[in-house]
Amino acid sequence: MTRKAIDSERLVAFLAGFALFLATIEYAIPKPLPFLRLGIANLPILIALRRLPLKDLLVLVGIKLLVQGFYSGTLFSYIFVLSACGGIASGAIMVLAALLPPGKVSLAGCSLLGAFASNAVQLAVAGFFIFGQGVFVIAPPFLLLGTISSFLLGFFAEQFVQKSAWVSKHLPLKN
Amino acid sequence: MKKKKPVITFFDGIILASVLIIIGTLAFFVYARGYTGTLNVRVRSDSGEWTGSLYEDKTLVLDGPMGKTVVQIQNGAVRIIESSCPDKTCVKTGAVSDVHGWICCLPNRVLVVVEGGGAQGYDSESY
Repeated sequence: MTRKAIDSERLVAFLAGFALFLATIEYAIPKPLPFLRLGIANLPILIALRRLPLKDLLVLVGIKLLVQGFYSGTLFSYIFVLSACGGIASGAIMVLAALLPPGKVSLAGCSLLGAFASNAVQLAVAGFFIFGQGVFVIAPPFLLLGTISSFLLGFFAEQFVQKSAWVSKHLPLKN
Repeated sequence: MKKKKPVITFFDGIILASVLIIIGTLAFFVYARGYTGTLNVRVRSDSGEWTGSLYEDKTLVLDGPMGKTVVQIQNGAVRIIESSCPDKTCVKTGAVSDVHGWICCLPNRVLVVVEGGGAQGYDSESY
């Protein structure tokens, strides 16, 4: 295995560990409403978005989903299917958004698009398979809270990647 | 001097505005419809769907994947008083009595919604 491949694996492992740590904090925060999640465990994905190869990013998204399912105790329940659908949708949208240059769309924009895709897909799946039309009543506050929290998280991530010496050393921009 | 890169870009603003417009439009269609003054409770669970008046006291015992969920309608308010789910967020939500109020138990697949009843109610139309 080349040195570069080992470094890349270590980075993915490190970021996945960071996601696990954040998922633990997220789990410890009491939820006033079901569904509601701050999404702070997405921070490592946002940081790596324009900096890791696609394959490594997908591994990171997959590990984060599993870790979160494991921590919240939902890994073997249908809730994991909801989370997975949302996670896959947000991962795909964020990767696509990150193809645009950083000067056009910052991580705040990527984060917002990812959260919106994740929440919309989760609502659609929950509505289709479980709750029927009732999800429309839940949708506006759920989407609005997700918009606020994801924008703030993306704003923080953008500031972090711009200022962090660790990021510029270990995770340089892809192009 | 090196020009500082903006944290938020113009396109971020467009994305934010678009998302807020979508949510606002959705909220308008969901919440802005009138009702005649009487309120109903719609309960959806693995036991099926039940709709009844918010003003008739009733207790429903519902089955879900985690076990039982008990929904109580009393004094013009609805609440989940007992649930087999692990975190009990639904029980902590407390009583709901306003139109569009809702209680959700995701683990046990129960959704309780207060909605407008009466002749102009929007029952099975889109809401």
